[in-house]
Amino acid sequence: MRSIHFFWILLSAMIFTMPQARAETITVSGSTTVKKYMQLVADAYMQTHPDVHFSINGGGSTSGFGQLIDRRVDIGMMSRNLTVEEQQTLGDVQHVAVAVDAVVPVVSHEVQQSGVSQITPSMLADIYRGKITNWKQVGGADRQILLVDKEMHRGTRHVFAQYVLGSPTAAVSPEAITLESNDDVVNIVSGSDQAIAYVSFSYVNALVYGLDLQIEGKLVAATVENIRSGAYPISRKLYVLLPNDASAQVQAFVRFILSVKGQRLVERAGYLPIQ
Amino acid sequence: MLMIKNRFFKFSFAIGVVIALFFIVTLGMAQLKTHINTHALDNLTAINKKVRDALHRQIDSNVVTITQIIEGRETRTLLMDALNPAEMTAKQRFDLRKVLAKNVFSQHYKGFFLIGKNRKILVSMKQRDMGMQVPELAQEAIERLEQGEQSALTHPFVYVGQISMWILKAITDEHGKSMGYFALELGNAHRFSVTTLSAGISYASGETYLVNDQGWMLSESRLKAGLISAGLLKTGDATTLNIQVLDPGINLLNQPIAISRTGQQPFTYAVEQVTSTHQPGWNTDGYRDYRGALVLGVWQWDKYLNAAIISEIDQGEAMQLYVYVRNVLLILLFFVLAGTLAAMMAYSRLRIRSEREANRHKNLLLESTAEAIYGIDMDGYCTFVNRSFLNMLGYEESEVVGKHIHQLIHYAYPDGDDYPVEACSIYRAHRERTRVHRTDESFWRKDGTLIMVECWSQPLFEGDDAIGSVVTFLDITEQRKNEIEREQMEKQLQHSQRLESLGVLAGGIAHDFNNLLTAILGNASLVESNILKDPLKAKERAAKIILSAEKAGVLCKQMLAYSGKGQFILKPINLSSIVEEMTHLLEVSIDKAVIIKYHLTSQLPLIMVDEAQMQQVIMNLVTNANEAIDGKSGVISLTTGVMNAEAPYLATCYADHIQAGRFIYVEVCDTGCGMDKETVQKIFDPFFTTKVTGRGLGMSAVLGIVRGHQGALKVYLEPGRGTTFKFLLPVDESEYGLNMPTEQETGVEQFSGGTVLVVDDEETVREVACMMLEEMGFDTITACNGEEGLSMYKKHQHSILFVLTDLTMPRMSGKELFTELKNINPECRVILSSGYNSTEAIQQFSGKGLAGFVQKPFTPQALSEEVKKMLGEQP
Repeated sequence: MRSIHFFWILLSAMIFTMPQARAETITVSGSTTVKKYMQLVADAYMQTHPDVHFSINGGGSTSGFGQLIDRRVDIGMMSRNLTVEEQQTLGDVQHVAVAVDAVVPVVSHEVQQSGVSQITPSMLADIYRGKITNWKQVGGADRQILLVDKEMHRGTRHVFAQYVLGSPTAAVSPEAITLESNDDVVNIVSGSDQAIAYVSFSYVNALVYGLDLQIEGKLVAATVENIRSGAYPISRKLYVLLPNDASAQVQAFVRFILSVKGQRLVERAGYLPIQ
Repeated sequence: MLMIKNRFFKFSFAIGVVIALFFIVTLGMAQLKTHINTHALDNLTAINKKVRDALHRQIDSNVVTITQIIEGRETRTLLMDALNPAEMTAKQRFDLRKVLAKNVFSQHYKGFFLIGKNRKILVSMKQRDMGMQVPELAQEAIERLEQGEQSALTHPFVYVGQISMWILKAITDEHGKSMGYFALELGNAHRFSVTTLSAGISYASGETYLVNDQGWMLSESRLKAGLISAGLLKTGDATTLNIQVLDPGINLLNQPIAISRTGQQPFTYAVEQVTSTHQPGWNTDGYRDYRGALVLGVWQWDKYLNAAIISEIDQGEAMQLYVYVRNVLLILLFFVLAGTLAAMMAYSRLRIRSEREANRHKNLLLESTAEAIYGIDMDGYCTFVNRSFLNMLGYEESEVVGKHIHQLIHYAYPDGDDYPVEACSIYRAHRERTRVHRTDESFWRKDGTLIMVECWSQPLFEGDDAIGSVVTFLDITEQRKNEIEREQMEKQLQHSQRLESLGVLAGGIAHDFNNLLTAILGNASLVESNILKDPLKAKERAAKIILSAEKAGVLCKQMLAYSGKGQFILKPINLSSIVEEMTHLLEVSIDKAVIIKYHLTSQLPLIMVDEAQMQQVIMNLVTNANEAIDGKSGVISLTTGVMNAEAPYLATCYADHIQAGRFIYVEVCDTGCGMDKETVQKIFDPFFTTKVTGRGLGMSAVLGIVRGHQGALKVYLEPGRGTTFKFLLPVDESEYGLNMPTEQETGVEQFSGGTVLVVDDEETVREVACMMLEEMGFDTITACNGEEGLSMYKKHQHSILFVLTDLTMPRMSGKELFTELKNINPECRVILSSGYNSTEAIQQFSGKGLAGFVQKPFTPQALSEEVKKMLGEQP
């Protein structure tokens, strides 16, 4: 009879000490540019760590910074450098570069088909300032330019405006449609037949056409080589914000991002690995 | 037999426990499985519901958005204008696009379509769409709108190479009349997958997906990897509208083989159920999903979505816990079983080993005994034999075990007559379950010879039941033979001894008589020759003849006395008196340096003896004693008394068979040279003498006379220190009445019984007192000193009527004894006896409750008087 008691005790002990199927969730938010990659790398990570779940949201680089500082998320995503103020409030957080990205001006396929496949930075600036409003002004069809801008706090805008307009916070034509994420931008550019926008290099896909930059007579396409060499001027690093007191799992994940496997995924996402 | 039963019982008990354990564990596991299933079911149901609700909310939010756009101040006017049959300008269209784009794309939609009543696209983001017929599913949606639905969501469909979902709403005028339709193209953020891939996920393998009536997936699978490896999906492709949820029949994850999806496979169980019944359901037994893996599933049909929502989880994962626990338990059970088995085996091996040890030991003992041992069962059949048995009787073990022993070895008497088993004493004892010891049995050997045995039989019990007997025997044939031989030899020896002594006797007699005759003849012839010549001389000679003749007569008398066949004249005699009368005579016949000491009991019972013969005995003994002292100075002690002689004592005496009882004794003790054992043997032989003079007849005469009086003679030897001769003569109780010559005619009182404790250190006194008391009708018990008296009293306190004790005793005086007795029992009656006169003695006891006093030596009357006084005239 004693052995039966033993069994029950053992059974209950085992049930109670069984590893619970409770997963750890890592929350990530910030730049949608980074988010594209983040989703890939998170999926890959989950293959080997099935007990870890991810919650990845956009919101922009600035939002990502803010959320991370408040520790409302485990990892922040940023597609630009820290501002001076941000550096001051960074605290015990690392600004880790995980990839290299470029910002590419894109147009709807119909625009490119009508003859616009390259652009000079000054023309780009004029379009964005509202000085040029019709495609025929830059060698395309007689269609009005549907101008698409991103929100001010977006890292992508930050970089683009810096190069094209001279300042990250430079204003653009009020006619511009302001969107939040790269996805939305891609949606509008591919949905329209007269739009122009700028997106992260990794978002350039078959649905949109990336314009080559004509710089000092040379055509600089947004290619890996040009981006790496710096020939392509509109580039930036992609960062994650990792608090120093992050949990072991989070730290492990960031290590994974920076690992060979993780960096391979950077390429898969369309960015350049940080080397 | 009981041991086997026990073992069987224990074994079956153990088996029973194990089976019960197994049963319980199985039951527990079944419970666990059910619990886990229920848990999984609950989980899936909750998720399924959650997804449905989320999807509804999702759709609702889309509806809200589209409504906002249609009815938004900014947009409504533009839309209404656009619906006007009149053509829009490019600018107008651009403005519309800009305005709508702001709303549409910022809310993550992919596009919009303004549709006329003619179901043609009026305005969209692209020029080329204008005038195009709306896609089929959108047409269906418009149908639904026209049937009164507020909004209509299409299922995913392919539009311009992309998977698309539209939500449509009618644009109505102020009267509610529909003027056209507005459609929003749902971006990824609004499609099903967003919800199903977040809210619909549980565990590692749990997912929720939607299927349409035809079983096509309307959302993305979470488990694409499996589909890709199974060859059902290309990397990068969507599962929406690409995968039909069919049962592949085998688990594709284990054996990925390219299967053509021609729709030959049936729907999965879930799809089958939900598309056919449109009812919610579940399955926890496990069925194959589109990967062929076994899953548990919950499903429902959503009318709003017009699609099925299916939530599944791999059975393997759900059962993980169960499998784990089951495996652990099985392993444990196995170990327990193994352990139990091992323990049982070890135990039984131990038992067997110890039994074997015990057996071996027992066998060793059995085999090592000199005695033959065999066991028989209740019917007399042999159960075991030892080696000695086989050796003694010449059998092999196989010839004996199992056979009826009596028929084998005890079937006949030594003379050959049949010995029926019922008459066999061993058999009888065996039947009656008693022990028996026989020395007169004989067993037959195999070769037909006989051995005489001494045997013992002991019944064998197990608990209270007799199960047989064990018989042990020894071959005493040799012994017997030896005994017989010895007896014969002894007889021969005795015979030759007798012949020798007869020879000696005859020779002695002849010699003595010869001498006498020579003297007689010589003197007679002298008379003859001198009768006439010298009559005086002749007279002298004649006197000498008479003398010799007389001597011959004496010799004859002694011969007669030796032969014990002389005539006795019996008279009641007090031996002490005889001794006293002989005192002078004895003094005269001894040496001057020898003293005789007398310790005579005056009150000896009278015995019927021949006075002269007694005198002769005493004389002979004293003379002998005197000669032993041999001229030196010494002491001869003469003692008379009464004693009780038991059989063991009498066995050490020279006597014919006489009964134990009361005897008068006379003891003659000397401090002479003593004798050795060999001499003692011979002293009673006639004509044996160590003396120079003497014929050697004295002691033989003594023995003869004593024997003739049915008495006994004992010799105590102390070589170099002296010798004691003690002869006993029996006292005939019935003659007691004659025995006290000095008693008065008043006689003694008769009392009605009770026990008296007589305490005295002198045996004779004790004996006499006892006799007196017995004559009075009491029973007596004796003690020889105060200590013994005390213990006797303690033992027999209840039956002791009173105590008669001497005053002066070793080890506890009479006074001390009295005190002790009074301590034990204050009512104790004590009569004191002492040689001192009464007043002196009693003085010590005055006031202490002494019951009586008699002065030694006391007569029976005196004693009875005292007793009578004490008992208060109670006869």
